[in-house]
Amino acid sequence: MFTGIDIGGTNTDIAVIRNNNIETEKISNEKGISSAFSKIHSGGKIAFSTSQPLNRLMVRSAGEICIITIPGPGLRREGAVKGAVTIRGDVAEDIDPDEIKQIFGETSAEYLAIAGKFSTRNPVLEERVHEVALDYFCDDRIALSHFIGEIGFPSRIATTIINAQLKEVTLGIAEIIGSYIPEQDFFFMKSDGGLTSPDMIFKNPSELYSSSQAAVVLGAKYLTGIDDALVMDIGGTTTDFIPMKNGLPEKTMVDVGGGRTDIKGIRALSLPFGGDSIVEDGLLPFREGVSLAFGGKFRTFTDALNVCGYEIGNFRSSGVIDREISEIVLNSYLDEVSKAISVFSPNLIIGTGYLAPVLMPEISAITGIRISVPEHAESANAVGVAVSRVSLSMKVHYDSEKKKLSINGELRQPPGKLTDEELIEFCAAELRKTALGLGSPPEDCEDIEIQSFRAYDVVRERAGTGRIVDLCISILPGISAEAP
Amino acid sequence: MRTGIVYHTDYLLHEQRPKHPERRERIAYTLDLLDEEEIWEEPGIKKIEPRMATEDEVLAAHNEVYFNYLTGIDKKGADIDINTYGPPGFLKGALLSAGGAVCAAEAVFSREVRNAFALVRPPGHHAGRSFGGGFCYLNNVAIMVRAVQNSGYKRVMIIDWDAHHGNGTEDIFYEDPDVLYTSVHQSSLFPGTGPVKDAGYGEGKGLNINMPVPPGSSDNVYRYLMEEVIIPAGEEFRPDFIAISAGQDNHFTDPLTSLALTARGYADMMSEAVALSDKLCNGRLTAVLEGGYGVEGALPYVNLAIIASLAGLDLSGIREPASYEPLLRYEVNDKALEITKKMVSKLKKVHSDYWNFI
Repeated sequence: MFTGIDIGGTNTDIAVIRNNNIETEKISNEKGISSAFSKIHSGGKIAFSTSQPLNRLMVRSAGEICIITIPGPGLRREGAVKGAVTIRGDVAEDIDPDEIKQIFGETSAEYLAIAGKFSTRNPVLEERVHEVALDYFCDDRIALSHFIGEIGFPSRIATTIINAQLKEVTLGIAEIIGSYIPEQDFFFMKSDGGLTSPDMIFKNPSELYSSSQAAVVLGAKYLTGIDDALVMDIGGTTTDFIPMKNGLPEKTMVDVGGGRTDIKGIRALSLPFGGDSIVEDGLLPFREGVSLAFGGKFRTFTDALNVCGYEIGNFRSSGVIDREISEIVLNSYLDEVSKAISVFSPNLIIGTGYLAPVLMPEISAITGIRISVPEHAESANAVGVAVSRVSLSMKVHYDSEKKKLSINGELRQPPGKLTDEELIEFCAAELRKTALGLGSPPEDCEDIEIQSFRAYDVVRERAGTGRIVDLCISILPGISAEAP
Repeated sequence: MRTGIVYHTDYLLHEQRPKHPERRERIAYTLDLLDEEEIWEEPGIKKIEPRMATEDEVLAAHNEVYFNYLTGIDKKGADIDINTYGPPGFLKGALLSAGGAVCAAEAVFSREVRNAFALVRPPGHHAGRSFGGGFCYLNNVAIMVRAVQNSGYKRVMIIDWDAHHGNGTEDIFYEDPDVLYTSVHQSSLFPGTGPVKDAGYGEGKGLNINMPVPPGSSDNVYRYLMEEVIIPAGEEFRPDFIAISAGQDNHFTDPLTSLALTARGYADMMSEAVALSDKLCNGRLTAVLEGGYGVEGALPYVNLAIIASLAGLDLSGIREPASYEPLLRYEVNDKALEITKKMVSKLKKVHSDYWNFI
């Protein structure tokens, strides 16, 4: 049994795949998230996607977040304290605990971000600051940067500031989930469309960003078998256009508050109009609640569609909207949609979301582009979460001279002196072992790719004494081989 | 306006022999640091793609016999001097290094950038009109200076602060009335040239200013020479362009030299050079990497200090880590400033006929 749950801004979608049979359910968040979770049954694989922690993040003022950076010699950074880790991962200068205590004693901040230069090669100084911090801050509000790889120090600082604010919310979501499915392991979906363990998400909760959009793409791929198309997801609040390439979304980097971060977004375009968008004299770009057609109190785009002749929900309840206004609203929506589609010049559009069966034929007629609306399109997001597989990345720094091996910012004992090929083989085996440990079937661990590789020799007194390797190796996201 | 950094991954390809001090890690470690600092994302930084120097550009600085010699040995490789081997195919890397320096200056003159740093290798300042050596094949700075002169800007000031005397650069411009060559170098170090008395020849007389300094010379010595000699000479010479042979081997951790400059000392020296270029030639300044062999220790953050100064970034974080302090105290020679002052007195006697500031 595969269960996928996408916690969106308006609804929570649940998909259960059992014996080639897909059951989906959409539950309004107005009924409370517990109402949705109570419908989840233990057993099989359970995975969640949600972009909500980051979407709801209010970037806090400087006074609310304490930032400790350990830049050592180099460019000036906000929150800099004593301490330095060298390029080789050696501690060239220790932190001064008294300096740190003084900063913590004087701040009224409730969140703490700790980021050191080259901490991905040796996290010890970040960990020493963390030890001091536990006397001043709640651990749920402290984030460390060394778990975040493949980006530079400034981006790690920016991402750690975000993570400090997300960690508590993410832990809270996991706790609620855990209370409904006790003793059951579950996964979170990341923005790359792959699944990972809650523990890995707590170390870098920003990975949840865009996971709902990624889920839609995986679901569209699974339900249609198509690899390349534009996925158009018509939700309650927004309409998202997400290009799908080889069955996956395309990644982009995200700026938050003007700073580059590790937060991976998805190439997508979003219109602020969905089925619950308010209708007055025209279509308004916000949502206040459920449509008249679904027992709510608000005149929405869904109600306008019913006035235009569609039969969605309890369509007779929608009749209070003026016919002329309804037609204006529909035409303006279709006009905006056509413009958005033209940005991507697709050959095929896969429609998802609960209005897709209604609106996609109309959109095809206007644009002349082929469409596909698969069965269960209304909960493609939850289906995508259910069928996705575990994806993992290892950011590796290996220094054979110093016998140091750092994997995702954590120091490990290297198994002897390794050649480049042996190191890659070792890391690939570790990746597989971790994925299998998380419950991946062996078939899901075969698609391993080297994302980057850089190496050079260490020379002392004109003699080669070692080799330094930076490697990023991944199990790629995709549909699980076990999915029916 | 931004600061340009010339760089290409092909600068990592050249290798005389795998264990040679002038090896690819010289730049690899620096790049590691620049990536960690995300220097390429800084709004004040622009990456510039290099090209290979043309034969005409090379022949403006080197003679044809020497260039033909290099071309001849390029196929099979040959030893150029006891420290310098030209491996097969080395010339491509040398031309890309020289071309990188030319591109840096071109970007400055087209106002694409305010100033630039050519993060290139192999280095060049030991290569003269008809000779190579000291890890150098083509003189990157000289080829760049000739390209600048040929574009119509005749008067060029070269500040060479590599720990080793730039005998090649001196050789190329020794008689040039439009090029002021100033060199601060450790006395009695390779190549053994660069005494105060070598002041230029013919129309170039007085335009070759050699400042040998004793081992252990630190920030105060370099600051003194900037204030006492280099800046006044520049102000009197009034160049159209300032070129810096930026050897980072006078840092106190460098394994091949015995000087004691700190990263902050470098940053301040470069800031003064930038201020001088602002005052004299609309900020037109290009630094070209020469030596620097403390590859994993200080070279990366010294190069970062140079870039930060060129770009006018906050220098308050440019410092040494605590664990280096005992070594710095050991390396600094307290008498170096006194010895240097005596050297400057001698220099003033040698140059008194050519300069008003003396």
